Amino acid sequence: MGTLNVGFQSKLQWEKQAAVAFLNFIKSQSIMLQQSVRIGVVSWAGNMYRVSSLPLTNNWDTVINFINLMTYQSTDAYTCIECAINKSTGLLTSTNRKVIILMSDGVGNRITASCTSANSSCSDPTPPACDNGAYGPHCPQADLAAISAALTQKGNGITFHVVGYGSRTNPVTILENNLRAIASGDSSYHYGGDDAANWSNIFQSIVPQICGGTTPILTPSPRQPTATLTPTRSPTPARTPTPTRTHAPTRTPTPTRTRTPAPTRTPTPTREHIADCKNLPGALFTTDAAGKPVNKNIYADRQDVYLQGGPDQRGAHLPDGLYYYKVTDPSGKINLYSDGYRTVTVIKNVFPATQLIPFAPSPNHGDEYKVWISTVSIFRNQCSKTDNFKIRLSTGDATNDGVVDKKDCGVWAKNVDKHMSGRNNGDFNNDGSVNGADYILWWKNYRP
Amino acid sequence: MLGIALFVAFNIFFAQQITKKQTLESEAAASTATLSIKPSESTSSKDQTFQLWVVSDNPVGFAQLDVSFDQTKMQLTKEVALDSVLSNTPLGENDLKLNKTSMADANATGNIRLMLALPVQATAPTGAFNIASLVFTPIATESTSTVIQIPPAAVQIFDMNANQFTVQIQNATVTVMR
Repeated sequence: MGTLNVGFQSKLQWEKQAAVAFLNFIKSQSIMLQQSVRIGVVSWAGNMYRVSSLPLTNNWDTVINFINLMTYQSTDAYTCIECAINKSTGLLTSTNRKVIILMSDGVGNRITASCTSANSSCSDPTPPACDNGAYGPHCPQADLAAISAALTQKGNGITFHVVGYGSRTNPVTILENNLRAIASGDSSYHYGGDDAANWSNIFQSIVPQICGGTTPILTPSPRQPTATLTPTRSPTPARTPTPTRTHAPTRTPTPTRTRTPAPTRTPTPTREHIADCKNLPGALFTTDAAGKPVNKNIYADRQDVYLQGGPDQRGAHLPDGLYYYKVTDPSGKINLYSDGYRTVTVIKNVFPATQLIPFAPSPNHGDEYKVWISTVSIFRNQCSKTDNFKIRLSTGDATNDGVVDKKDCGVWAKNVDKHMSGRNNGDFNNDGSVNGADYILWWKNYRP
Repeated sequence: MLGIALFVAFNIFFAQQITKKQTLESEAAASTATLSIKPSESTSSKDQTFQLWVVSDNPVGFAQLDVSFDQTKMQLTKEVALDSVLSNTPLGENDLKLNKTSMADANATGNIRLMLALPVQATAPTGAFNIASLVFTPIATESTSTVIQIPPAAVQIFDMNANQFTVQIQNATVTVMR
């Protein structure tokens, strides 16, 4: 982009907005997801010493505040993408699954080695190694440095999602081949176009991919047949770069400006794939934490119930994508989730272990429940699958709250010496009499 | 030119599944216990203490019983004192209170009802153990004999498998001398 401003606000402002939208979207998802994700931030402009960063944290407010407080640290037009990648990977200290989401125009023009200290001036690119063409200052050497850095880190198990921005049409301001090469695959590259207002949607569409799904929640901007900068190469040359051999600066082609049509605007995408739900394949069943029994149906406690795609254990069966789920009474009329519904994302035919708690006790006298999964949050029947299960609550749980506590003993004491039946009355052995035997059963299951 | 990179790390949480032990165990053969009042024979004196003893072959978790006496011949002079092994406040002093007839009511009706349960996190007693102490004073104006007794119909003692004991009862005979 020839300017730091896009529309009525700066590019940085749009980027910040998109990143915050991304974070807020994750925040809106399940608590389990929130608890399982830590996020850090790196922003950069100019050289590696103008990289600001926030180490990994699961304090979402801290991350959002950090992003909101970002300011320009450089007024020059140089970018060291390699620096950002290296900085990010250096802070990504987790031993668990690691993902980097990079937002850039892909135009590299500075490398780590060109700047030697925080106070030094960097070696600005000069021809013939660098040009000052359509993208502004551009150094293929910097492109290669970034791609090489990403390649190394992909080899270390880090997944790269890349959001590219800039114009594909004259004047072209994005080097998508670089960005595709940095991304971990076709589905991990997202073209954000030059409409910054769309970037938030793009970021949100990444959530299912990094959190367990491949079907975007929001349909991103259409993928145009991108400006293939290397038309004579194999179809996916950029994804398997061998920088030292094939990316010599002199071989970097100039993009063909006429090859890329303007992105076609699509209607505002919806979050729910309603159109596909008429013939929603697959099924669901409940199982335990290990996921071993198929359709277990009866559980000792609410915490033991997990959701799984079915009808068997050979994959999720449900198409990849985001699903809404909830627990109701058997009739489906009473939602037992105080938060309405939760979400789970199927990715690559894998249905992640999904614990159903917390949910309210069923008003059904047989302690029966119905779990729903749907492609739409309003759980239309034709878009949903259901399965019933039962909880055989612990002996001693007179109050039906899932725990055996003093309140249950109070129920027993209130009715002791009476001829009453049923767990709810303190008759835990169901012999029609509330007596000392029921106290013993309560005592043995009581959790202080 | 600038950019933002978010980097994301997924932590793996190991959900520790708490396995609840269900306690609906198969019924075993009935345990036996003896419930007795000691001393079983005595000549009454002022403020004489009688103790309720249980002898059981299995740990006891709950006991309910009545103690009857002729309130025209003897009167409690103290509140019934309970041993700590089985309690009428098994959840703690300030919590649930099970039956323990007050001295006033007992002297008015001639009946003491006790409902005693194993306190939470306590060890169930077995063998011979005292559950309560009763302090009587004779009020009869003539020499006489009376019985402090435990009506069998009101006795329920349960072991830790929630099985009811078969209970043998030994009452106490008291001679009042005037």
